[in-house]
Amino acid sequence: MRRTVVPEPRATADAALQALTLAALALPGLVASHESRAADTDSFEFQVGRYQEGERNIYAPSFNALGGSGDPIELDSKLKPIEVDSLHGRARFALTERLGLTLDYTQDTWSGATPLATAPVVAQTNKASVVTGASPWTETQPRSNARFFVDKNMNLYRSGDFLNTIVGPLDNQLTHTLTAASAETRKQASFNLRHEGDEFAVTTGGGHSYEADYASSFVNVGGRLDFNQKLTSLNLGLSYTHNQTEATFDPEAETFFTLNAGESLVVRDESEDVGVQVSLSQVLGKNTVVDVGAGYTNSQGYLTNPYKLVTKFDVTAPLSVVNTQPDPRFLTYITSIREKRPDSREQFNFQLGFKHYFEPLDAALRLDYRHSNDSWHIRSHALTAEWVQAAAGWTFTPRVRYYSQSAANFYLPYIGTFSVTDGSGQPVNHPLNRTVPIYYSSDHRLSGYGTLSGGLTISGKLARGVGIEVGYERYIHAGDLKLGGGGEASFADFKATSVNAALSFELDPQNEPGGDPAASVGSHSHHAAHSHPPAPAGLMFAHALDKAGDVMFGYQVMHSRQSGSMLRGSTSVDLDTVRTNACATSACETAPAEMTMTMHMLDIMVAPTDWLTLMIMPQWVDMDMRLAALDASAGGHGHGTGGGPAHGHQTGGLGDTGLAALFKLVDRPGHQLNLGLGVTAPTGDAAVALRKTKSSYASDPNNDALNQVSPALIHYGMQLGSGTWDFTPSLTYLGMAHTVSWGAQLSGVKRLERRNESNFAFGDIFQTSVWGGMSFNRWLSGTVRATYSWQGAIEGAYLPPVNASGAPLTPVHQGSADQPANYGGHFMDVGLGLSARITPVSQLSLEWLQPVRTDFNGYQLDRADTFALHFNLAL
Amino acid sequence: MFGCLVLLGLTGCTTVEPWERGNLAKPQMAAEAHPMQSAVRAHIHGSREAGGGGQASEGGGCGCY
Repeated sequence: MRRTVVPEPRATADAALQALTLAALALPGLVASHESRAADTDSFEFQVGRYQEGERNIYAPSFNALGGSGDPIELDSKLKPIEVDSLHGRARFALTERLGLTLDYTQDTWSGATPLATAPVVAQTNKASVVTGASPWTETQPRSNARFFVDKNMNLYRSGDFLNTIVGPLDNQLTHTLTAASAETRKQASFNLRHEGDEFAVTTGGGHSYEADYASSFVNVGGRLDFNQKLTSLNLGLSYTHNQTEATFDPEAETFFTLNAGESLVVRDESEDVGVQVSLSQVLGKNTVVDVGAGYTNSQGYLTNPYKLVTKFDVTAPLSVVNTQPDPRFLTYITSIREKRPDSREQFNFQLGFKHYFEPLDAALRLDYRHSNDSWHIRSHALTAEWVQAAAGWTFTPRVRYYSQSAANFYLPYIGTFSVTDGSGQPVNHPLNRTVPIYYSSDHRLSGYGTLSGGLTISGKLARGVGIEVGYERYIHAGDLKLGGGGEASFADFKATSVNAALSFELDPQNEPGGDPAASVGSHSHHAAHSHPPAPAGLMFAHALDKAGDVMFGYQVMHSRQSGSMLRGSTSVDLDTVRTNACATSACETAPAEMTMTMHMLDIMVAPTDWLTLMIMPQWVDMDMRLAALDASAGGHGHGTGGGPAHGHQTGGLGDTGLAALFKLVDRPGHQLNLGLGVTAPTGDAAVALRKTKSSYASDPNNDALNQVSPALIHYGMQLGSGTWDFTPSLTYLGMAHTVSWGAQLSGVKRLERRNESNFAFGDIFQTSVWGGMSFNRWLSGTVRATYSWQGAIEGAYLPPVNASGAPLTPVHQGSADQPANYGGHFMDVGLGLSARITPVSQLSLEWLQPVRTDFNGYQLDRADTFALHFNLAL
Repeated sequence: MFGCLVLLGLTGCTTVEPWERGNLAKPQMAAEAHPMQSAVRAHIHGSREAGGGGQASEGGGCGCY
């Protein structure tokens, strides 16, 4: 938001001081939330991040000489730890002088092994003999040797021999049981509107977050009131969130736990959160600000994590034994039930902040303390200290944070019940009796622990109006770090690392302090829209930059969908035909029913000379495939934490990275011919695996996925990258006369390697496009495009998975999308596009492509439409 | 609330003239020094910790892992 600034007469001594003072005057509330500051200019920010957890410590008993349990040993888990790839875009616009709009889009894809339950090591929920490490083994009918002993005080003892006749030593060591999940992507879009008054601001916002098994919608309103000559600001915020869970438990996991009465494999439930937050900021001097805040959140409804289990053992103790033996031991075994949390939670929080600027150092110390206390008896303390150091135009912010929480009052690593019975086996009242509590969870996030984290953020300007920010954080979670001691044992400890990087762009860089508006408009005005005829949004490599020194930033989103019938070539076929014919060696068990693919791409273009433009294009992709079962036995092979009736797969993360050089072969008024020579680097993962499940490999002699060493890879088309270095040439002609424009492009992808790490290579691609365009007025134009493209089938194939002894296994649950021959084909599409110049230096284009002819190789799901968005900004 | 009262008490005795507020307008003293990163960190901490952070509701999803 641009403000009229009246120079203050007393601030004349020093130009630098004046600039700062003016900046200060321009800020309403000064110390209020960052939105008011950043609303000054229209801007766009793009951030990527990665969170990577270290391996969890998991344990299993060794075996003693008699086949009983020996000392616990730490297992070397082959399961990949949790990793989360996140993507965040934010755009801010000043709608009027006082009204600002912020749009946010966030996407994160997570995968990896996460604790499913906690159990005593003696219960043998993990198997030490298995190379792959841990997998849930908490069956309802446990193996006869997975037994252990319990005394009256619920201490645990190893079973000393195979037949469980000898009581072994005391062993209360616990372990997590892990489960691995295939990737799952969450997408969230939100908005915030902010009106700035002279001494107040009001905000309202809302959004929606979606993942396959969970959806949240939220709204919030807030306000800020400045008084006491803007030395004091009062902030108020109210929020409401509605959450919907639809979790389908892996049908294979059914053998691992017992459903409680009234539970089913599918959980459909909802919850609501209502929150209120009040805070007060106070300027204490020309270098010091403090703020204090308090809040309350009330959550009602389904607050349980549907995927977490609690292990349980039951002891039945005859009264005669209890009365006669001084210290009897009872044989028992473990089972599992789903966790159960209260359906209501009230949280109170309190916050205190302190910021002090050290003028000689041009740095600020920022301290923040937060306390929360809730009706689940979790009390937490978090203290963060940051030092924000400015130096040579850059900002360096080292940070350290300590967090500690006490356990929820229903947290239990496991449940043990004790029932004293009379001579006829009937339960009798007895002080030793213990039953299952009303609520219980062994989620280690509800245990007592502390965390210590620290990191560094560096930010600065790359060019006028272009900011960069990179951050690193190391995070340590440990029971020993709990304030005052008494935290959970070390089995639940873990470490994590997160890194992120962001680029920010101001759409009106001339508006920046120090900028020269006249010079800036002059040098940029012809970049984005004037001299270039509009090119369709779905096209790459169309435009070269005008002259040496030019820089352009682009952001492109392509969203394509496949749905409808299965086709053989161009003919629709029924699923029975697919089942019988689409898979090479045996009948197909699955076929895709719907598939969506979204690609987010940045393109950063630099012109070192007038005739050469260099481009770098990192991509992020996510894919979602819903599968139809062609055979009853394939009803749920349980990939992901979902599975069953609506089963499907998701993948997502960093894709391949394009590098290209564009040469201007012809550049005359009204005509331009550009040659593009590029490669894509295989930065995307081409070895994304499905989660291992017990029944993944039918030909394994033991029918035991734990013996499977190499993973089952996901459908070829859902890999995040090609895995090969690819050559990407293009030739583009652009023509323009008055308000009419036209163009044509030939482009291709040639795989430079015959096989990737997963032993296959996608087919080469050849594409042609011709289009015509028309400018409707000075800022809006439209295009019509026709394309023809051809892609070859996949060369090579995944290697079969092998078991522990190296013998190949025959994959089961194979579908049409797992066959290399069912990829590629000939395609024709027609696209309609619109292109709008937003500012003199930025342009937004949209294009909708509809297939007109499809001729697939083999059997594939029919194509639906493609939607492309392309935003670019000349810097 | 005690903190609020103390702050209100201090309010009366503080005077910082507008031209003395240059330091307070520095990016180092903004409400968040790195807003987007703070949001990412809050989401990570929020899915790994059970304590209430005092952030306004901004969705966030299940965080079931």
